[in-house]
Amino acid sequence: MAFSVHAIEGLNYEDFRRGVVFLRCDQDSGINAEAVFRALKAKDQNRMRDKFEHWMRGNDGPAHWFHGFDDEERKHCFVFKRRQLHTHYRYYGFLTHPQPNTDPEYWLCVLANHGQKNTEATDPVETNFVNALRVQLDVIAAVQRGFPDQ
Amino acid sequence: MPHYTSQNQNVFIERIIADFIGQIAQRLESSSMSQSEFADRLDVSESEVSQVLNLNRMNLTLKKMAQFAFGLGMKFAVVAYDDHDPYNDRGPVGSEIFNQCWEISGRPRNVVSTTNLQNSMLSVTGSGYGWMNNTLADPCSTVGNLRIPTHLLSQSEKATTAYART
Repeated sequence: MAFSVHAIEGLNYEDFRRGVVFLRCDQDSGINAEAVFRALKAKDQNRMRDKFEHWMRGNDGPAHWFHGFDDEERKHCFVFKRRQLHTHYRYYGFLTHPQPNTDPEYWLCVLANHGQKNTEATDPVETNFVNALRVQLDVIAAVQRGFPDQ
Repeated sequence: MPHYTSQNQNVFIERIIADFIGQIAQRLESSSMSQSEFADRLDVSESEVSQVLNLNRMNLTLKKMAQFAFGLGMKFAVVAYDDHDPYNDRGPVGSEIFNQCWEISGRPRNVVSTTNLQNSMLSVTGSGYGWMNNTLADPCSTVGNLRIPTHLLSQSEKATTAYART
């Protein structure tokens, strides 16, 4: 399958030591984070951009905007959140150092899938999906193409 | 690619409000107060607090911002700055930068004590704070441009400064 990573329009990628991108794969409908984001109203997109850049600037909270996971199984997973009334919207991704030689401290969050639910707890199906993508060779190659290392 | 907050002033203002709410939400999370206790303290509904913290209500007035900050034992500042980015291609500087610079410089309360700031700035160069090094290395940075004229420093301060520069 053909994977690629794409910058989020309007974000500042130059000033920070962290970045957020979308994973794209036309052959896998489960990789839908970017499509869901693009379908949001402009105002809601900007609220998500606020949260993306809040993390990119080095903040590690608030947890009801985004967070990682402490347990070993999901330690590379990351989620950005949106809530409207009683519905929770989740953008799941994984964390990686895309340039271990050029910039070993740079963190990249590759967002892949989107989930919608009525409870706060994370559905393990979503994080399992992300974990499986994270180690897929085609996905690793896509990240390397987007963030070439030495 | 221009920054998303360069679309118009409203988008920029909403981003500044989101930044403020992020600070409030982080403070609330690190406190022992629940969202409903916080709402009680502010004398507003829990639903209103939830809407604000989830960025679903962005029309905060300065009065409302003061209410939220004071409710958590905090104050807030409105800072105008020139980051040499008149078309806003890079977006606003995050509040955590101003906050951390103020903390690192010993929480000065007046301009005179910003001499502490200069010494702090010199001593942190080369430290482990990547964001700090970037800020200090940037000649366009507001913090990087803060310089105390040498003739205003005492002899001992001049000596310290000279030593620190080497």
